[in-house]
Amino acid sequence: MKILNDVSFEHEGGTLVVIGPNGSGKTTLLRSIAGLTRYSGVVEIEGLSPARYRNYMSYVPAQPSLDPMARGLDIGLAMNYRSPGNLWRQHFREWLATFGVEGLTNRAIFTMSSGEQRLLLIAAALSRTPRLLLLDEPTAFLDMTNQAKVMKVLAELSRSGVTIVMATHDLHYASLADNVAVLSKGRLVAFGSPREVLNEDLLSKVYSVSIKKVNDDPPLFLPGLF
Amino acid sequence: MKARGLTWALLPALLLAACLASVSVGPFSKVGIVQVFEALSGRGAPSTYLYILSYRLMRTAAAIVIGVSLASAGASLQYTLRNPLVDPYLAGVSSGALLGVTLMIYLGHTGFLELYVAALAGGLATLAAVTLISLLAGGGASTFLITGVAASYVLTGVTMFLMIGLGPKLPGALYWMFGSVAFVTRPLLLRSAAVAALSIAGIATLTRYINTFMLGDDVAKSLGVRTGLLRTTVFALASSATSAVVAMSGPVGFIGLVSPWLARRVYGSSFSLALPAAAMIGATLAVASDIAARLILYPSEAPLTAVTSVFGAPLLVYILLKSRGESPW
Amino acid sequence: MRDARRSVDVSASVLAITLAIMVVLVALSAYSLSEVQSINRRLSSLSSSVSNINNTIMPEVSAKLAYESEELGSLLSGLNSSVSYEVSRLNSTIKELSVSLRFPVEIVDALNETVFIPSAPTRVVTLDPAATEDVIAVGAAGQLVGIDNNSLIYLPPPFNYTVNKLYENGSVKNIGSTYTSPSIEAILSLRPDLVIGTAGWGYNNYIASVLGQYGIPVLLLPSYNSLSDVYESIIMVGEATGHVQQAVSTVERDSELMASLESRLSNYSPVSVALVSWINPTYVTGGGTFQDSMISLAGGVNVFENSTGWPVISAEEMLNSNPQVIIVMSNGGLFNETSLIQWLSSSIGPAYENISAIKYGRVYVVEGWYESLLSEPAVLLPYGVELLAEVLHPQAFNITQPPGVISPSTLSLPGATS
Repeated sequence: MKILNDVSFEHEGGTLVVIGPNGSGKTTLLRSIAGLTRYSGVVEIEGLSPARYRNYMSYVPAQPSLDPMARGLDIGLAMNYRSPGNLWRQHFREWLATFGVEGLTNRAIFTMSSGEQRLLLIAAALSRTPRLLLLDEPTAFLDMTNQAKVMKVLAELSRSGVTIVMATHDLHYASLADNVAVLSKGRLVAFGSPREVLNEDLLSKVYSVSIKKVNDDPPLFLPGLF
Repeated sequence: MKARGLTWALLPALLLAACLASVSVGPFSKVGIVQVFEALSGRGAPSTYLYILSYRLMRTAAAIVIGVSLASAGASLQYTLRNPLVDPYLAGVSSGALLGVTLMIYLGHTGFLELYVAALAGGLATLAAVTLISLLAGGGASTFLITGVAASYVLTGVTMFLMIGLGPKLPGALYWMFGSVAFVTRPLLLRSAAVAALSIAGIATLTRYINTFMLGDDVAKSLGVRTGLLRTTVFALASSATSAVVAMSGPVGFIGLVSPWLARRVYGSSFSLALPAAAMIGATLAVASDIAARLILYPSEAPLTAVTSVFGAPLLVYILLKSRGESPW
Repeated sequence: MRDARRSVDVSASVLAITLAIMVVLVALSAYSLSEVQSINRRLSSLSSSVSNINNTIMPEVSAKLAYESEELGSLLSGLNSSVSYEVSRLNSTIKELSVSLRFPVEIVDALNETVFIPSAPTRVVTLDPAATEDVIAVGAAGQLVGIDNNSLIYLPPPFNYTVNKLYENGSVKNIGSTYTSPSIEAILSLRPDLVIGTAGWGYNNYIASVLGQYGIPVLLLPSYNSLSDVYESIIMVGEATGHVQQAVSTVERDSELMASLESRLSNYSPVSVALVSWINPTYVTGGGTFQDSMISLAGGVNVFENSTGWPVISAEEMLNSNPQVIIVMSNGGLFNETSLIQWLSSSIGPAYENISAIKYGRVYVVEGWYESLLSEPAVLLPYGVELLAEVLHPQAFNITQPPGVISPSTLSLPGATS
């Protein structure tokens, strides 16, 4: 089943946020970049195909299915199954500490809330020190505090050179990105900097609902309630 | 769980104790650890002791092979499929082995070696068929499970047809089904142990990859793990170890199911820890069951599968009840 | 924390410990096994170097004997009538054998294994009632040290007296039932130098392979399949225990009985028979079995001879095959005529009354030790044939009507309780 049609773009580092309504193909796009779905065409990351770029990228799906009996530390171990040594352990703990959830290492998944699981998975993904981070709905299930923490971390990472590709429902983050891709029904409707791409008309058409810009700096878009 | 560190010392000790008991216990006793030393030191125990000692050592070794193999196979399958209901017979290998044995007896070949070969061939053929069919049908985990279950039923049905025509030879086939280490001969033990050891060594080398199953298929694949191939490989290795054991002593149930369970309770989710723990638990259970099988119906022997099930199942229920709420299962 | 890495190391070493324990145990057992085997080898080479036998004569003699008895048996099974001629031929052949068989002996048993017995066995263990019967009949009861559980329970007289006496004075031990689950340790503890059992019965084949590891000769008898196999088994037991002459005379006596039966029955046409050994599921005797041979020799025709072994049949099949006589083994009082009729009527309703045996009142139930006569393929087999003949052709024996329940108290068997 072909979900994406005629999608073509180039992104040169920094954050890329992919937005679009449900079913527009955001997840498929991310999975294609991660090399999990078959695609016709070319995906190149730093000149390499996704299969060859595996060791440098981490993928965090929207609905991970983690083994309920697994412990936090084991998740980190599994993510880093390829790397010998214990360097990842240190990174893992540091990221968990940044998110404020160090205690998760010894708890089983089934005792964690969805938000905690997500934080755990993100920390594990980061412990691999990837150059490309693919996140599908990273802020889902997170309360505002944790959302802020995660976004802060992502912003720092972006500044320090990690490329981040993020699919989200939250237009707020789209305006903070370096590049925005707008998908609608499997087609790439717009691609460019947020200033170029994000305007009321485009968004209202894509989301089939009236959207108004209610603030300019930082730009904030909200669906109209009328 | 807090018992972890202590358990690492406890498990081997338990196993050793079980082995000693196995060698010393039995109605024709006055054979035990003392006699072992006597014999080895050349003082020469009376030869009756030597016969019985040798026999008991063989049984104990066979029980350990069975326990280690089934538990390791069960552990690898439970971790791969993330399903606690899975046991090493899921590919239908025991039904295939039983069919092979029954067919041999039906055709009049009742020599022990012939039965061994038939059981091994039956089990491995079933594994090959189930793997092939499930690969053709898509290759997912559930496909394999369903195909294995279907194969089990079909083969058992055919076996029942054959059994009706066996007449007085029926007990031979039926009792093979009950499982026993009483008739293990050294060449068979060595053969089965070799096959099982190779298979389990294979699984052990895949430990790192098996660990990634806990992340879910998506994330695992994104890390470069070929989940479909890995699953199939684990099935094949686990089932061949199981086949080897079933050919040697008939199908012994429950150990492959409960040992990984127990290991998981204590060691959580890391396969690299759970595998050796499950193996030791399985070996201890098997040896203990064999001792019980020898003593309960003296002078006859109880079927090994009956002992493991009748004593094992309540043990499992007890553990379940005791650890209510500590697990999502 | 080092926790996980250390535990991986620990786990590896624990696995190594387990494997090491296993290796040690297998090595120990291998060592002790080889000790046992070397002891056996020394013993057997010792005894064979002590005895000075002309080895070329013995195989020839035993082959000749086996050939003669098999010929005799198959001739009898085929109901050829020059029986008395064959009997006298056997007699003269035996008279030519002035040398009694000495050891060492090599016998090819029912599984085509060559069993090597280095010297006259003094500690014999039997695994099933047929073997025990054979051993006692050839005069080797004094060499018995172990018998199975069923031999203590199921032997017909006079064998059960012998066995009980031996058991009570402690010279013979019970090794458990080889039908349900034997104790190898019990057998091993008796240090047998010969083990005899019927091939394919219960666990016997497995027992043979385990004991074979310890160098204990195990002789498996072929007696299930036909009468000539029974004779062959008796002679094998005689050879193995050093009582060939008595084995031969037992076979002789049996075949004389067969001869006289045959002549008595020569004027009667065969009667169709079904021999039922269990009801619901209902097992009957099929073709290619010793019981099938017995039926033919008794002047009967087995309605189920086209199925081999002991098949399970349905009530319809019984109706369709319409036997003139139905014989039911009561299995210790478990079954009787009522059980048969209940089973039939619950399947096919009142149609069962059309079965010839039911219509003419020729259903018989066998009880008591007569059951052993019909179910043990051993020495007393000819008396079982005689029993069947009395039931199938009572007129030949001046019996007006055989009783519905056939037991030692209701029907006499001349010569059976000698």
